[in-house]
Amino acid sequence: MGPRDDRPLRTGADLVAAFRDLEQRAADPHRVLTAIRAATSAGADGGRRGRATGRYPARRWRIAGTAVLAAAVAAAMAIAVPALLSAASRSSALGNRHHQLTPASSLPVLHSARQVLLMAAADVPAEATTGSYWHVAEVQGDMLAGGTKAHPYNIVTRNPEQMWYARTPGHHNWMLSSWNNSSAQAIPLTSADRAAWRAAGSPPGWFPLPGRHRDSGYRYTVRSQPLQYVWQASDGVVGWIFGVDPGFHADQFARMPASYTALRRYLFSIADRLAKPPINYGIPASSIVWVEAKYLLVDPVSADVRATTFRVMASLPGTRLLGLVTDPLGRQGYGLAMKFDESELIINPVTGTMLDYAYGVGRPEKPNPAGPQQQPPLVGCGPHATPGRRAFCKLETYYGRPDTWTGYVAFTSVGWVAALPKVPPAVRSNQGYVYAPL
Amino acid sequence: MIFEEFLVARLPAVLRFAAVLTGDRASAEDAVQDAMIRAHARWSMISQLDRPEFYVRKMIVNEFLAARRRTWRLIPAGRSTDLDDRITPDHADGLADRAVLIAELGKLPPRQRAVLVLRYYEGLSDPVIADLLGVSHGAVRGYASRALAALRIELTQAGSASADQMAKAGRRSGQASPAPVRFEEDYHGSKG
Repeated sequence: MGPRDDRPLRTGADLVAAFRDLEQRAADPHRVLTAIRAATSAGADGGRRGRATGRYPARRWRIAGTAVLAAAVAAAMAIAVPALLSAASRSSALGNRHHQLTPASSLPVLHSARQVLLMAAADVPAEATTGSYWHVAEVQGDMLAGGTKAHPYNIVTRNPEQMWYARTPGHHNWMLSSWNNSSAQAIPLTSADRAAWRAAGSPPGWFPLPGRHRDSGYRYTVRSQPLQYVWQASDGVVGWIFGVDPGFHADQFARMPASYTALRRYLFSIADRLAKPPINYGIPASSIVWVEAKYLLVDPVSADVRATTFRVMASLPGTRLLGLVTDPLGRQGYGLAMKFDESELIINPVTGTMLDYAYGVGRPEKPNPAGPQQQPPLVGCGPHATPGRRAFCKLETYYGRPDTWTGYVAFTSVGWVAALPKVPPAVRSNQGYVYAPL
Repeated sequence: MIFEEFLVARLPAVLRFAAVLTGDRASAEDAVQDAMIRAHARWSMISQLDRPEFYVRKMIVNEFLAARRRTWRLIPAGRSTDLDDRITPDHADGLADRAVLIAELGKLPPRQRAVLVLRYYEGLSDPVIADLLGVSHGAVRGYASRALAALRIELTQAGSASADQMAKAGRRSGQASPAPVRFEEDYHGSKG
């Protein structure tokens, strides 16, 4: 069309090559698969925007009679591990009843993923196998790029969340979460990011660029969001294994074999089915087993099975040690990666626990030497300021950028509990929800 | 075919198609997610079609065209709006021309880009593309020739034979979808 005749003539082969390059931008199928499953199993017809990439298949949660598709939400906050965060050892007192985490200032020096996993296997704490609710407490977050051209910085969203899955079908599952349809908390990621945020005028929040989050009213704010309880009727499912769609009941997890040979055979039997035609996931069965095992580490299995899970992971080819890392909650552990799995784990080998896992870290084979901090922000605090209010900054996500982590799930507590917590009256009245009887 | 089977079997290919179509992983993922979720809601109808995947691709194309329209409306003129520009690698000189070509693909009007992808990546014939986009046969040819001219691409031979070859070459071995076939006549187009 235009008179840009200085450009070279191209052939069909050039176009094909360009298409082939573009193919490389295809998203990770199993992450998208999880998202779609989450949204569809929740019966979401309109389809939630945002990223339903979480671990939990979406399930129908209710706020006293009003259906809330909250799991698409739990899911909407993606996951990833900050192996790229500094390895400085900020220890944290974020302990919990079940996996009591000691301040990890002195992890032993280990030299391979296998060593980390085998040591973790030896240190898995004994834990209760009875209780009425399988309780998972976690903090989820996404990394996003905000700021201005002059003051670029990264922010990370924080959604603390707790789930109680009832052992008995028909009882209620409960979730305590800050998730809502309109906003989420986000804070500058590192102290350097915090300084840049201040230099940019300490904007109170950010709004996404158009096209990425289509519900344009969504905002990220510095202040925390109120927590709310929602419930769903339990179908007895208390946990999931990747590749097993409906999830498992407590008694199914209780029957999970603790013998190395049997558990390994079982996990590979699921993975082989996914790895071969007609399903043909496109990644080796051993990498799929890794993903399944990752789920199993926070599922209601016995300590023996959990230890065996670590040993099965240690036996897999393609693992990689990323070194000592500090998670977004300031806890230290060893970062591990697996070939073909676009996520990373942080394991504390001394406590025998998985602290976090992360998604969207890109292909470990091609690390980005520049690291995520080098990604330039695209736009600055925009024209959306209203009189009397400071402008929100525009925001770009890291989704789809290769070789950056995009989010994380940090587990703070995982285990069986006898009863639900007392619902704080303040939460109850703030939200104005009536609680359905259990 | 139940939805889950379809999802597991075809998702990687659909994601690749969406990536080529949109040029951007995030947009592609969004489009695929939305299309699949909507397809799930109507699966009983879609699964009756001989080739449900084509229907899903049509939804993705519609999603892409709609998203682009929204994007164009929302971003002030004069700003760098193109998603492709954001992630076009700026490192390698050796890949410079391909990167330029990819960037130029991103600047094509969405319909022109869609026609190129459907013709030369998917290997669809012009009548099928016309049907899919809801435009006339002649319009498809017009979009294609304008797009090729804008990109300064000269094909050694025009027509669907070379399009087929290019499409086959463009797909990854072992994961190519079956040879292009006509869309069923009975699907109801339009995005939901």
